Amino acid sequence: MFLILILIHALSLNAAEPAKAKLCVACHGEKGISPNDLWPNIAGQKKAYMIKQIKAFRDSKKREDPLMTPISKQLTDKDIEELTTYYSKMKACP
Amino acid sequence: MNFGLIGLIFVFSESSRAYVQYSLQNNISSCTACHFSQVGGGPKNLNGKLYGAHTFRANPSLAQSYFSADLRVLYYQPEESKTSKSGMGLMNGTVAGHTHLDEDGRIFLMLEHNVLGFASVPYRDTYGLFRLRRTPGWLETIMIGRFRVPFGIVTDEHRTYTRIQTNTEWYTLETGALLSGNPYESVHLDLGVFNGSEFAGQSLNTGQAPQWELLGNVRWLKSPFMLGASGRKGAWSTYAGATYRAFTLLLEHAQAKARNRALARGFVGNAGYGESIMKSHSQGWLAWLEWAYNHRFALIYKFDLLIPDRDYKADNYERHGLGFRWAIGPGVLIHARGEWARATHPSEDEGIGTGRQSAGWALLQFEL
Repeated sequence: MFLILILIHALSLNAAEPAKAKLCVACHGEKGISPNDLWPNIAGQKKAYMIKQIKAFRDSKKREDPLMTPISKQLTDKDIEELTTYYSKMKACP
Repeated sequence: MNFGLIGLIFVFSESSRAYVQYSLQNNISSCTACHFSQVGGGPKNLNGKLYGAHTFRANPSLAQSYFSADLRVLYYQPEESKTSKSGMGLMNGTVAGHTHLDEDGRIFLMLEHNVLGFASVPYRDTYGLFRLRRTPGWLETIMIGRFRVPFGIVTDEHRTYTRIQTNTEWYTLETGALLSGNPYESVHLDLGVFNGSEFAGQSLNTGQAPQWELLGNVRWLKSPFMLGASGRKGAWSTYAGATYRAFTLLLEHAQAKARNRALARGFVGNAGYGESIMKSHSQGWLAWLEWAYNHRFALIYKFDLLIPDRDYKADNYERHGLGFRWAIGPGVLIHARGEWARATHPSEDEGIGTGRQSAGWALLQFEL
């Protein structure tokens, strides 16, 4: 059963979704809409703005956050490009 | 003292809401990203509460840093359900109040009270915390009071043999001071100094003053890998973790000298055997494999092995568990598992000790 579930999951994965989108989902929602009022929606957000913010968390000492800083350090420039492209093309209002 | 009750506590020993796998998956080396305590576990801060909503929309008015609560309702069906503790019960209920005392957030107070459940100890995390610096460094916080100890893998898990053999279960809180820091981005350090080790520290005890103990813990975490080691008087642990896509693997090996008295409280069925291993040198292993379907549902396989006396390796306890964790609402989780257990010592074969019994259980948890 364990293997069947894993297989079903693998087949149901959205091919367009970057692999590292799983890092975003817990806080920003499955569809880029945050489930709470304190964390931002990223669906439909401007791509250049998101790149700037993620890189600020990742590279700058001036913008540190206990969650975003360590998570963003797992992202390469290519990952950031893929993720921001993916989320910027999502509908802002599902 | 109700040893049956204590035995049941061992059946469901937990480390209180800490998920090392989340740290590993998200490259977060400091537990304070989600918890108030540097040890991890215990009441969660605002980030932890929001993350713990598991993408459900929580009641906005509950997004606060002043109080927390945790209620767990359990159904437990062991192999010998007529002669062992079994059935449905309120496993745990805690409420906690916590706040910063100063404007800058450098002095913090935590009071967590146990209001119901199997563990009768009234106080849980009860400490004052001084934050010495906001940026990573060798010494970031000093915690003084009563708290869980940073030893081995702090995981929200039942019947973890490495925790039982080293007396580092969720309710074995210590009283003293804990110095913690992150000297490098991926390195976390803890140094604890406790007085009256395992006396629960809720009051003064005869002869307690001279009883000091040190505890150290170091952890390197850089996703997708983690390595760590912990040591205290007569016990040490090495642990590791790795994550790949939806899979997370945690491993631990622990050794302990003369700390098996916990096994006599229900885990070992035969009192004579329990007495004979009281001061022996134990070895334990933990393996945890988790496959997360998404942020709400995960399948879990868990393996525990305990050799109470390393000079008699053939006498051991083994447990395999397969189950799931499923978030069905903001802060509402269902845990369920079927466990197959085996004990090889002849006196344990037909006993009713929890260590040798296979079991099935389900747990409904509400946390705020």
